[in-house]
Amino acid sequence: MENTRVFVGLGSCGIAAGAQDIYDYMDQELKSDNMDLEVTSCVGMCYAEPIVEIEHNGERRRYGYVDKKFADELIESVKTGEFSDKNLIALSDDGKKYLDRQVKIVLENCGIINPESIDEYINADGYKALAICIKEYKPEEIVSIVKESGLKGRGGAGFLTGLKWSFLAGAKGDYKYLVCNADEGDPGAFMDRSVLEGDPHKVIEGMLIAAYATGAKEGVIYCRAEYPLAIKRLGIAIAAGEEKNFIGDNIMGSDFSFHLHVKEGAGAFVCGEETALMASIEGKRGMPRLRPPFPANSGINKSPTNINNVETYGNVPFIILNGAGAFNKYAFKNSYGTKVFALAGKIKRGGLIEVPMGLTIREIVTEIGGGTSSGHPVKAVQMGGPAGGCIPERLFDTPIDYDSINETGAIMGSGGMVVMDDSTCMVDVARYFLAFTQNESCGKCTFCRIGTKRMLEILTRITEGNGVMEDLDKLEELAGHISKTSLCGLGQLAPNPVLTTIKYFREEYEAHIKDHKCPAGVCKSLITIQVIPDNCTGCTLCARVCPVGAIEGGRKKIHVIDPETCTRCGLCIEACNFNAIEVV
Amino acid sequence: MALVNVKINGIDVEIEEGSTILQASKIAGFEIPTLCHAEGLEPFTSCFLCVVKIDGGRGNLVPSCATKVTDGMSVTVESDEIRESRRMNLNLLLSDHSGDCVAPCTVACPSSIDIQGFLALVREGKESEAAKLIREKAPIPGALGRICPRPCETACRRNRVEESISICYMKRYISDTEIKEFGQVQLPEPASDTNKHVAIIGAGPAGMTAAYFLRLQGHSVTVFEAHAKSGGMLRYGIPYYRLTDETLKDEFDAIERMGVEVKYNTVIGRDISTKHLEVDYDALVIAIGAQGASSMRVEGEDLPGVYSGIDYLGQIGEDGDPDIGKKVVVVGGGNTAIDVARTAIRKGAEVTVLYRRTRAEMPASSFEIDEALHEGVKIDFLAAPIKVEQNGSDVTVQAIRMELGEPDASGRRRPVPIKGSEFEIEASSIISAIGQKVVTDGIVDTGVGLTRWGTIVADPDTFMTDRPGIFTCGDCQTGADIAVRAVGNARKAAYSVDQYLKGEEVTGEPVLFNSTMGELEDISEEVFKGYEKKAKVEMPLIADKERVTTFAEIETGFTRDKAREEAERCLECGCEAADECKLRIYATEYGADQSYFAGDIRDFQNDYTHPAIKMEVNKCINCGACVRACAEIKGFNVLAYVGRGFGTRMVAPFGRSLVDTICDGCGECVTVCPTAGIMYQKGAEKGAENETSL
Amino acid sequence: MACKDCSNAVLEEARQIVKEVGSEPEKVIPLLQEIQKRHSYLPDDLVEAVADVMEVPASNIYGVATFYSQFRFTPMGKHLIKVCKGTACHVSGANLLTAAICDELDVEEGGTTEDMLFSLETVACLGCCSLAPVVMIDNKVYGKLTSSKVRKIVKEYKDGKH
Repeated sequence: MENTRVFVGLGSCGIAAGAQDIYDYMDQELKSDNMDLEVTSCVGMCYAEPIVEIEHNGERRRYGYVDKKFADELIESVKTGEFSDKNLIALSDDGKKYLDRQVKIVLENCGIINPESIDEYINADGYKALAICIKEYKPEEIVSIVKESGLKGRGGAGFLTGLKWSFLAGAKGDYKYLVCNADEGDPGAFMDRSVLEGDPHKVIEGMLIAAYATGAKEGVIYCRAEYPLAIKRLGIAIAAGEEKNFIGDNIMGSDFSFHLHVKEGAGAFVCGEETALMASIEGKRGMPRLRPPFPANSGINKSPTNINNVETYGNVPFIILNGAGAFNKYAFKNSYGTKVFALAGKIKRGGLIEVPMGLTIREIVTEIGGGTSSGHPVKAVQMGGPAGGCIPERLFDTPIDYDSINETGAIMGSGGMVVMDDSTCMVDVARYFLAFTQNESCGKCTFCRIGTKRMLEILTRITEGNGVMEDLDKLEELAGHISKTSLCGLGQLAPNPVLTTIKYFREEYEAHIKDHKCPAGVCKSLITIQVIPDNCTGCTLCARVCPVGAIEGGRKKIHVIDPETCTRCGLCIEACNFNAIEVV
Repeated sequence: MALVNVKINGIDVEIEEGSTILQASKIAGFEIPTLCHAEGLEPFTSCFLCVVKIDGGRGNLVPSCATKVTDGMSVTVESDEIRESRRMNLNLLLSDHSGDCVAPCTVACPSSIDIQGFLALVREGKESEAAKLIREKAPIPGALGRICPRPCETACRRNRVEESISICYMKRYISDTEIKEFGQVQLPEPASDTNKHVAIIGAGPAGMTAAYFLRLQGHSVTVFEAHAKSGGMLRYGIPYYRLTDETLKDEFDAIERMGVEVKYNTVIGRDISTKHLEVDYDALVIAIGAQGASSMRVEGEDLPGVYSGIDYLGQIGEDGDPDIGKKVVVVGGGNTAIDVARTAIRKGAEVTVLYRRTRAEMPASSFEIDEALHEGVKIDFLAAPIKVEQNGSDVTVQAIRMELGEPDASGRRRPVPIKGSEFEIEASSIISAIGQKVVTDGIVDTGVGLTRWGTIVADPDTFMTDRPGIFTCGDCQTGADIAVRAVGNARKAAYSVDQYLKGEEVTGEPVLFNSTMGELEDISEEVFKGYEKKAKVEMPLIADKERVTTFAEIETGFTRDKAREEAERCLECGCEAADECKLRIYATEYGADQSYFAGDIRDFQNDYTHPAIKMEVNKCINCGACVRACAEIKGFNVLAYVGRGFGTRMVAPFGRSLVDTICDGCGECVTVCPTAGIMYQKGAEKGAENETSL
Repeated sequence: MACKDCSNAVLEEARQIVKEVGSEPEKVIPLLQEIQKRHSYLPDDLVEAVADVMEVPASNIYGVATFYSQFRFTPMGKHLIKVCKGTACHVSGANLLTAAICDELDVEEGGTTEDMLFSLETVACLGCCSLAPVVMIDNKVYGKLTSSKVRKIVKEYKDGKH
């Protein structure tokens, strides 16, 4: 037991996969041996959660797929000092494929250190960059380094970070604000959450450096309320930072002072937009306003303000420590460094990945992600969430860089990458995103408020088999007006999911409209669910789960679904153990 | 303050730094439309109607109300792209704007009479004002108030509560009251003489209406009439028991009193040539009606004892009516057939109407049919004549039974003869009233184009024929139709003639955008729930015995009390802000289409609780001006932006009614509201007490 | 405007909340969050009383409260079930979970069961996309669910096992 440490990954997704139960169980079992379990966060291999790491004589072994039975084996190993090679996920073929192409700058400490311990962060060279800045650099030198690194805003828009900082640095005003946008609202994205849960100090340090470089006095981390663990860990980290005088007055003995606090969002996607976010911080309805004035001139309480997202700040300590060259050596076209993606959807190995610019979508999906979870052919990836678009498989050789992704009609976005296979209906996906945007529109501008509503109605009509071909023209017409004439990004980009699916999957729209068929078998009005008599064993399970009593047939009898009563909810398909129910 | 130079659509403007593009455009002479921007309030940028394009920019459109000019900036504020964006914007706003600009009765009225307006005046006891209001659209309310088939009443929203307002009779009441009070029709003063001369052919409702409106514009008008009296089909096609000589005289003579000259007994083509008219007059209006009878196309049609309905009715009017005997068969299902039948009853005959379809398809007004049946007219449905034979002084009508087949082009089911169902009717005479046609012999020389139905070709908006300077209106353009349409079209034609005479581009009467809540049957039940049911006031009638023996007017008219009682029933569907609503003005200007994006509309409870202010939230366009005015100008903060997205609304917080807030009815919100989302309650306008009563 | 219908107890609580959280204008959202934390929803009179104590118009606070999806104006059930409707969950059958829960609890989306035990909501994304589809009950996230699994979990809550 000497020289042995046990770490359990307790990120939100790990906990959801049962990691807390494993932690509690192993803690109970090892307590008697005076061994304290340690906590770390998400290492990004979400597909293999729960994950337990054991360090023995300086060597770390990462075990995945830990259930109670396997936990018993691990406890035994800890006690005996003999370790098995089972489920060593980082060393398996799968794990190697998953990890080999990745470059970890932002995620470097995630899943490695205990995010609730500032000492562990300091041991991992934490706050060293800040110290260098304060001691060795003038603020404008830092701005230059960040400019030189080519770092662009990772929130989606891709604006040059150093340039943005220079605006704040040059703005008139005594009191300047720095905001970290952690209102990660894209459905299908969890980069910010993982980073904040796994390495909050890195983001804080990035903000401190930015504050030093721009002269900001007060910082706000605006984090969505749906991330309670991230908020908790940020709170712990800020308190520890204050204690160690990294945050507060006269930081590290200098005359640089910066105060930092967390603001909990209250559920409004549009608050990811700069001006709406500031309105929300000021305690108002999160309605965007016209720019100019830009936040750098008139932001929170009309004071100069700079806003960057979590990942952007997360890159800063690395750039300072290693120099701009170490960062921009990862370069493709006009994009530099790495990008974190939340790889999810119908993917075999889903999780949080960080890849250098220039890797192709195909490399991510097939090599890192291992293809679809279903084994069915991959159809598309959705990038950029509700503001992004669907990129079809035939364009998978598109490299990851801001320009190339934009050319497809999607956007880099904040890093959501949802993989879709042939069981995903692209019309339904477009409708899904429009429904999201519609629901999240602040309701101010005409084109967004009513325009997206009308687009959604048309899409709904099509998924219900009531569309006409002119509807496609109308969608494109409306899309053009909405993107050209909306105040904020939410409205301007809202049509993207529709436009890209029409562009790349027009035949699917036509099948819904002309043939009244949903090729993916998703749109309820256009499918029928029926029993395959040859496979039905008469087990009655389907009839029992049917919420509307649409299935008839007693024990040992072939069941029949009444199409009139059936609501096509699909519960029976999921319940059937004999593959005896199909969608046609 | 420093000045900057900007270019607005190529026009150089020098303006103070910090000004908006909207302000700069005004100087350059461009009125940019905006709904959400109100003077005295900070720009809000919600409507996005004021969009413009900054040249050399990102290619997006920006709101001019909030975008500040910078030195050297060049902006496009008018272009096809911008117009299209504004039009789409309005289409979207209107798709979620629930209300009627103009009441559906007025929309349904071919003369566009302000029905809601005249009912309101009757409630206030201002009958002569009401008469004036009607004459702005139609100069013969007394006649129309007696014979109109009332498309307005079919459209009346009150039908959804119990039954429609008695609109038609109210017109009659108004006109009768005015004449009772003043002894004659009160006429507006014509404009000073223009020295332009217009010739009108036909002194019927169309010709005389056109004459009325042209004379009002100061033109000199001469009407040429073949008959000895004016009134056209109103006189010669409608029996006196429905429309008396007295009423016709009152109204048609009044038009002559304005200075319109009518040359009676003058037949064009016989007494005077159209060439002559074209040379002597600056414009010509052809309003000759549709005075020929359509043929039954059966053998024996030319025999004595066979009459045409309009000729018969016309001769009654001329006091030389033919002897039709005691057993009369009338053929047809329109109003003329019913008029003929009821006239014949009054002449002491036993009358059977043959109609080839069923009652449901009958084009005659339902109440006219009811009255006919009540007076003893028999109607033999699904029967048609196939041959007429002489039988001494009588005739034998051979007829056949019909059944209904597939719908024809008119949408009505086509009657199909049933083989072997032939039957005979003995009659003293048979009168055919199956339709009318235009007799163009007299005007054919003008060279105006004719349609395949023999009507005169005209532009549907301007009523100008294919010959410049020659206009047409009434039945000769539409084919036989109802009088109220002839009147409406005549007014529109007069508008065009006036434009023509002034040398302007002939565009026709402007058509304003009209928002509608939808078809009567499609409106949600909710809208009508709050109204108490109250039956229509019945029109008093003379005794039955008297009816079938004389030509006395059957209906005796409303009393003042009854009329006011009936006027009280009006739901006032039309929007009070219809004349000043910016949304409507822009919708008209940009040719917006409310149905382009038909979809869900927000359905909020209107708030009528407050004594001074009423809120019709469904008309709100979310500009937020009311919320801001209440907060920024008044400092009361009565209203809140509530909710998010499509359902966002401007209302009192916590689901409260306005009356439960501190609102003092100051009306700052009403002043800034660009539509009718917030209005004053009746009589609660700022300074309303100072207004003199009209 | 004075909160005319507020009882003393409500005013007292409002004062306490404002004292705890702060009365600056930018504290509106934290104040509302505190009210909701205490009551599981925003009672009208307490919101109005807080506005009174802060000396800001109640209409402003109400406007803010109705803008954010976190806030609700009706009491919530003992357990709050949030079905994630993120993209990954959507393509992995989140609708099936909602259907199963609705059926199991006889409740509608956005509704609360009659016994006030459960409220059901759907949320944009819980950020656990790699475990899609997921459901969050109170503060616990359940991943890789099927409709039968979620039924089982909900039943456990029903039986008071959590």
